Amino acid sequence: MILFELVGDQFGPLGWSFYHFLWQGMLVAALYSVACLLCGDSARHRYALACLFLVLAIVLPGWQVWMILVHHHGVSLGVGPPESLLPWMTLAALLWVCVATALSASALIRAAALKRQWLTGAVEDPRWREIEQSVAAKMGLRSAPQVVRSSTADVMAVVGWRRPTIVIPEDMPCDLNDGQLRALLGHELAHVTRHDPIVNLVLSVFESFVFFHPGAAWLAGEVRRLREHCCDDVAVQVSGDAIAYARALTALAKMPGLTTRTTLSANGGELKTRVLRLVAKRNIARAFLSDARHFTFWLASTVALVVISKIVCQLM
Amino acid sequence: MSPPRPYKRQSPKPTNAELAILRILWRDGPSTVRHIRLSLEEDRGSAVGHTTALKLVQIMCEKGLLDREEASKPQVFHPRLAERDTQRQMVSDLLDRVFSGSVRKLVLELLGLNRASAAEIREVEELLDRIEKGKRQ
Repeated sequence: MILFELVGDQFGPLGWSFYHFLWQGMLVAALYSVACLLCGDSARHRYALACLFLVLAIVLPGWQVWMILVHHHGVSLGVGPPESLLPWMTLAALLWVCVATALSASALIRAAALKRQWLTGAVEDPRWREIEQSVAAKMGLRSAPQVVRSSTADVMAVVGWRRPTIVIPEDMPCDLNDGQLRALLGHELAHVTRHDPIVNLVLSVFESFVFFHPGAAWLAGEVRRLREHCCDDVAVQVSGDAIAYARALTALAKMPGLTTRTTLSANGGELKTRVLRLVAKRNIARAFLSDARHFTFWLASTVALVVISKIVCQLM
Repeated sequence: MSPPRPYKRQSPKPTNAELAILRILWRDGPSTVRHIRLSLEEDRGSAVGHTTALKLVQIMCEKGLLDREEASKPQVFHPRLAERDTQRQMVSDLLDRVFSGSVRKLVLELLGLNRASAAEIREVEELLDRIEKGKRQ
């Protein structure tokens, strides 16, 4: 109990904020969904929105701690955890901060090791380099990142944060034509020009802190998804042939080793969604419906959480 | 809704002893049990029994790590997978097991983290075929 009093006094605001972030995160997800309803279906606009609300989700818990420390109360919708639960809440919050810090630190170290492994013995490929230069020129870039072929990489990717490198696996399908290579490189160059490597770093750390939170984790997933859509759009702009680019993506998805870690989302898979977006006419009514569904779901979750807390408070 | 079964390239994980044999075969090419035994002795610096080596090689054949050339006498064994494939698979297996993708999230992969299943790829290819056919007509 002495331990409880100690953590309650010292870290009490953390426990309260941890609790409030549960409903606030879901409310942020609901607000993002309603903003999407209004903004139409440009991937770039949606990505900007998702990033904006993600920043909000990052700032909120910090602001909450500050409010409690300075004004001795936070934004609570009239409910908070019962006093007797607060020490547990605080302990949970402390444990969570420690675990998330350890997780993200280890992921960062391992990602650096993976990068080293992929880049060891990787060689520059003159054909890819030449195509990249021409794509970069078309995109109006002054300098283009290095393109290397790696025998250990199993997927085409951008690695590194400060000086990103485009990595191409040694055994890329060889039936891709120059137009398709241009499109693929356009996609990767778009990541670099949009500063995605550094955004992704922040995003990944954020994700390891909100792994328990359905709303915040969903928002982070939205940023990941929309980021790829934005780069797909650039790829098609560069190559001018959406179907050929979709074919190239499919060919890469078929590469050995890539299908082993399969997890298929309920909406029928990432690849299918991306290809449909590129080649099929967009069904505006359906997009609207999906946004509306997200909004209803997150709003209902927020309300349910608040109501349940109220009931629990009264019972105790 | 249950997720569809992923299709997997089935290849068993080699144990440390098996990996030592694979390394010999990758280095020296297809070899006899005698050569494998002598190389193992050289690597370990201690004696290895012929039956021990033979048994290891037989188990590896059953697991699908090695193939044997039936025609030759004495029998010659060669690895099924190239060194690079095995190493790559072991690394990604390990990373998957321990961190379930949290490391891969830090790499900007072209195809995202949700891998496509064989069924999904087929579906997408059929869709693209249909569109191209429609365009030609």
